[in-house]
Amino acid sequence: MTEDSVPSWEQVARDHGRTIYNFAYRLTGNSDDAKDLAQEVLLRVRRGLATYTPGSFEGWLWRITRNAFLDEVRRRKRRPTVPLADDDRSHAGAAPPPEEVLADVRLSDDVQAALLRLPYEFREAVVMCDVVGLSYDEIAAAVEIPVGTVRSRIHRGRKMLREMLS
Amino acid sequence: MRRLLPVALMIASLATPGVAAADDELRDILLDAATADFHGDGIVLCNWDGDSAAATYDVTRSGGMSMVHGPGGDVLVSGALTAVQSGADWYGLEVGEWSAWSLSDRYTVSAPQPTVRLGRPASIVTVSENGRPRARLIIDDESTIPLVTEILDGDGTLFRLAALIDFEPGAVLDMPEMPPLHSQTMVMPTAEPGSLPAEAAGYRRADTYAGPDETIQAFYTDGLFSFSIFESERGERPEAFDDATRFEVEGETYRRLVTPSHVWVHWQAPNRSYLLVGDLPPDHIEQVLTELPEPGNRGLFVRMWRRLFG
Amino acid sequence: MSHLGELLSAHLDDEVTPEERTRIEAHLAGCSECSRELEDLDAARSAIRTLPLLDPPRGLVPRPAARAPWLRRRWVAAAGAIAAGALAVGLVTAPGERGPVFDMDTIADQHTARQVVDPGISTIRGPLGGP
Repeated sequence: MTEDSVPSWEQVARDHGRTIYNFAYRLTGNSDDAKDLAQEVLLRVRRGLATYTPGSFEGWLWRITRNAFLDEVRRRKRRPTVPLADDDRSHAGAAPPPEEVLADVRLSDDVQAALLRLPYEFREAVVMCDVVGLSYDEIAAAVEIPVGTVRSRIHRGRKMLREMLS
Repeated sequence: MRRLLPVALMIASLATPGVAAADDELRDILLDAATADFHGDGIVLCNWDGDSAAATYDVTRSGGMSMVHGPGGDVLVSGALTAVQSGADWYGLEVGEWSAWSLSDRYTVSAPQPTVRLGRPASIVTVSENGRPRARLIIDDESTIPLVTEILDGDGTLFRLAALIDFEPGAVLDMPEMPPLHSQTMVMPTAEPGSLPAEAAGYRRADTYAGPDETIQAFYTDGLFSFSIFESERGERPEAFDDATRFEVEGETYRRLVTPSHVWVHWQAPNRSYLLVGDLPPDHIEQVLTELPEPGNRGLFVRMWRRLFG
Repeated sequence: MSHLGELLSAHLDDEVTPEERTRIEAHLAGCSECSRELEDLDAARSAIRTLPLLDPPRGLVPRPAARAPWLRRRWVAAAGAIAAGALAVGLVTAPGERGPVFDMDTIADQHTARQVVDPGISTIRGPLGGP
């Protein structure tokens, strides 16, 4: 995507919808919530595109995504997430052998569970870096914190994860 | 809890200009008590004008996690994540964001008096509120953990007593891990405080969250005590309050339940139902209630309907 | 406590200046503690990076609403008429009270969850749940 054009909403949804969904999923651990949240985010993005001026698209997109996510969490009625076990299935590609699937799912469950035990601000930083793939500068722009704070949160998040997973 | 401490200290040091400073000594006592590792068995008793409740419990705090086994079941706390057991399953509730802790300047603490408790060197400190005794703590010198906590009502009578009868300081090696959670919910502060005031009787409304089932939860604190008000569209009174003691404040009637660690107050307003739950003493409760939306029957419209149609 | 601290994570993410990188690599060459921590951090980082990227459920990308504007205006006007009619005619059904609105257990949990993030008298005793 060139930096000097305003992308169409369909294009944004096609290119980034999956990542936005995964962002929401890794933050909440629940696919229903993630879908609702991602939908809300995409609507917000759609409205925002009307006033978007070409510049750093990733930074803009993820600031909107993160704010929309938090606003939705704040606004929606509190309801419990569903158990993790059924949700973490990859739908992409050919079916791997059963033992591999089971091992993958169990491992992923542990990692997801550990992620959910991180304080929210660490979890958010780690997900933005290692799931979404943003740079520290992009995360700093999206969350509106200094780069030094991004570095610190990611570092402390990883240390906590390591402790929980070992 | 390890994560809380540096943040709280950092923010607490940015005191609002023009506001009298909170008692640093008391703040340190409370912070130390909230973070030190220990294991203890204890009893808690609460009495409000004849309504009383008591319970035994045991608590372990180690490596940033706390575990309490009490009459209501087991509770595990790790940072901002609280897990509660119901049947065979554990349910997690995570607080996503909260405002910084600060201690009201109405509290001051006396110089410690040496004593011995459970065979250990300890110190008695009295917490005063605007000069009058509000709480007494007997604090273990080595671990900074309060072995005894007494909370007094406004007239000096004992309201709540918590005492450890078996105590062991220090980290516990075989602290269980956070169990797998059947579900985990996160609450973030909302922007709509409803009709609840920003301040009531010296308590500030620190955060507002979406409560369960379309209620709003407003969390109030003065740094020492705290309570939540849950506000909802008017609905049936919970069964637990059917035989509850009724009490009056400024001519309005409320119902209360006393449990060892908290008091519950329920009332109906014309279009809303309210539930207060907290650990604050009775005179504070009464002052707070006068600053919250009043009880009242449903609207004129309904009274007329009932008069016409029985 | 590690010597390089946060720099190790930043190093893994290639988020360090060339000067910092030189310094880090020099330090790592001679410090086994930091090398070990680097491995630990890399493991945690990989654990997240290798999580499967899931396909969103069908229907995530919503179709634009296809309602004609004139239809919406008519509906709003009609609703207004019905409301006015109801007031004029008077009461048709008795106003009832909703069922129970407070679940004591979940309320106890939610108050406790917020209470325990602060120091205070309560953390000394520990949370004990509702009635």
